Amino acid sequence: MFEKIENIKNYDKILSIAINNDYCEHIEDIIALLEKYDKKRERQSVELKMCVFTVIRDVLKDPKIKPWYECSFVEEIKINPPKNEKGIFDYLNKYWYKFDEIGRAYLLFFKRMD
Amino acid sequence: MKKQNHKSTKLRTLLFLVLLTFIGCEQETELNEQSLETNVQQKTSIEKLTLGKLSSNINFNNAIKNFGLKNILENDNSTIFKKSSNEISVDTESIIEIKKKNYTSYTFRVTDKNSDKNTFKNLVIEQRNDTLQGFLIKYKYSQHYLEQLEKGIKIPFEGTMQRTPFFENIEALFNTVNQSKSSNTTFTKSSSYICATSTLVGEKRCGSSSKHRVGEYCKLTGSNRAYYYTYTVTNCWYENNSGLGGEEEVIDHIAVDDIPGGGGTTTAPNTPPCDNCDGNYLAKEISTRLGLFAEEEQWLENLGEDSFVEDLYLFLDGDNSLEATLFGKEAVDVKREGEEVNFEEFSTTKFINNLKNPITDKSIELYLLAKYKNSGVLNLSIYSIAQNEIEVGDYFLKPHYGIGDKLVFYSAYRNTQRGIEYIIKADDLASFQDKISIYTAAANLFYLNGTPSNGQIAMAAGDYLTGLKDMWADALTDPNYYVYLAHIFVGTATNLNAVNSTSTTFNGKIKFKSVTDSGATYPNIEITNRTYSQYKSLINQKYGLNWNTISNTANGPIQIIEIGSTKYVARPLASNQNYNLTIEYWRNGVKIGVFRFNN
Repeated sequence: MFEKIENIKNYDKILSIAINNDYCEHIEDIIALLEKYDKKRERQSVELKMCVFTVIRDVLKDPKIKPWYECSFVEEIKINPPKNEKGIFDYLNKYWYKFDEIGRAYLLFFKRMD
Repeated sequence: MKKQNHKSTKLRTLLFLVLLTFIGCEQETELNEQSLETNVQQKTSIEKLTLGKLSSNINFNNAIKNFGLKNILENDNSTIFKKSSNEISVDTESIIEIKKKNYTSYTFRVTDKNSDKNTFKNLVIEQRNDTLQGFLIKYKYSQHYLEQLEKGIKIPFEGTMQRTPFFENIEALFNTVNQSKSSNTTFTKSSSYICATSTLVGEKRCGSSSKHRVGEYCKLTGSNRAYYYTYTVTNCWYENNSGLGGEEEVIDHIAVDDIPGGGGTTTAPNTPPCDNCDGNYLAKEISTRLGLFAEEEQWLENLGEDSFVEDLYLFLDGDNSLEATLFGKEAVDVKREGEEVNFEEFSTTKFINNLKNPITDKSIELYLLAKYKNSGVLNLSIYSIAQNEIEVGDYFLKPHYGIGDKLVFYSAYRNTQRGIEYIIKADDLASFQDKISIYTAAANLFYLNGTPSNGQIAMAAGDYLTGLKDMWADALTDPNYYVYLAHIFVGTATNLNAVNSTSTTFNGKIKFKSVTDSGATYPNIEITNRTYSQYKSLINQKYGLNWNTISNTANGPIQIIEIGSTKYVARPLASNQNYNLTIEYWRNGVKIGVFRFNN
């Protein structure tokens, strides 16, 4: 489900921006960071999904960032949000290919707690 | 009512005065390619423009689009072209724009295969307040007038002028013209108008800036000699019951400097090919300007028929700058060493030296934009090229050398089909190397959908702030605009030398500022004088589409408008608490930019 960090170029930079940039809001923003600082990947590829999951996993390790589902097109997730990391990635995995690019981007937002 | 009549009479009087002034000033009228006439009294501006120059003009684009002329004009890749439709060809190199309060017209010279040489026609599209209409107008010179013109004798216009009625689009207009042709009544004068026409005769003087007039001494040959040319100003009035006069006047059009029948007026027929063709005169003039030694002046005189002397004279005649003088001196030195001189190099080098990207303040510019800014001409083949290319990032930089083997600039290309992407002045190489990732990203954006169209290039090549001023209010009318916008903000986002976006106040237009910060992958723009709802309405009105709710949040719905591969997503929630109200702009499944609102 996750990519090895060493396979993602400029990973620390990507992670730092994803955590600290106030305009990095959702999954599309992570994809854009990967495309800018690592490389472009086929948008429907498993490889891209794994890389995005990897970044999300590490972004959510930062105490300032919380997963946020209010904009998700999946209504039930707003009522019963995932309780742990496994739940989050099961949810993302389940719906990853079920929406267009916007629906996928909006599966998960990052809420900043500071 | 009396007041209206008084105003109308006053305006008519003014117009007549202007007309009389034009006629009275025939002898003094001079060629000015850019601005034929500006009537300050009536605040009427008249400009001769090309399609290329007008392609970034919103009013023009809307007018030709709504009149159905856009496809006819643009369905051709060449810069200079004539496009045939119903046997009528439209000349896109001479378009006259007349602007007046609440009135703008665009006049195109049109040619008809069946026209005789005494006749020429104009297609006029005019926007009056909210009304767009167009018509064809035909001029037929009298034989006597033509004979006099060909002899170079100026007399008042003699002939007839007829016009079609007004039409809302080109198709209806051409249909009527075609039908009329078959019934042998090509044009019908509109009964509600009365028009007066005057033909002006201008004088092109010897050389490009020179003092010598027609009939005076001129060493030059061909079209460089002094000659007369003509253009016609026609004024039409609404006709009311009392005859000439009416509620308001219409400034109609100008038929540009051309003799009917396509003959042109490049030389005055009654002038000899040149005066005193011994070469001494030009050599002396050049020598005085360049401060040549007697030996050098003698060498110039001895060149005899070599075109170098005339070319150099013309070059210096057209540019009084010190730079031109220095180049001229260098040209003499180089020529004396047996090498050829290309005077085009001077203007190109000067252009490149003065090329400043308004965002970066560096002489580094996308090649297509540089080419556009130099009136579509950027002939790089006049420079010698070294094989020692420099590799910077994905780019290969080829050095170009000018007169005296001086390094002038680099052209940068990648292993793509695009050819040259950047022109880099020699002095700014270090800057290009330093910011290579930014320049690469900017070029990637610029070429996001392949080679940009002429319209996109025109937008991006215009002065950036002026471009924003002109374009922003209409940004939502053209999705291509966002490529331009994204291109700009790649620069500002990365602090190359940012445009002060906080000072962008545009007279009631939409105000915005970039709130993009480092590391961003797309522009974030705060709209400062429109609310989220107002902006949504703008998009909604532009496309005539309703916002479609796709999800609901505690703050309100998430809504989408989809136009082909373009999507706007409006959401009342954002991670960034300062900007909960957000509209994202997506194209081809990729987020291009974000508009933020603080309401």
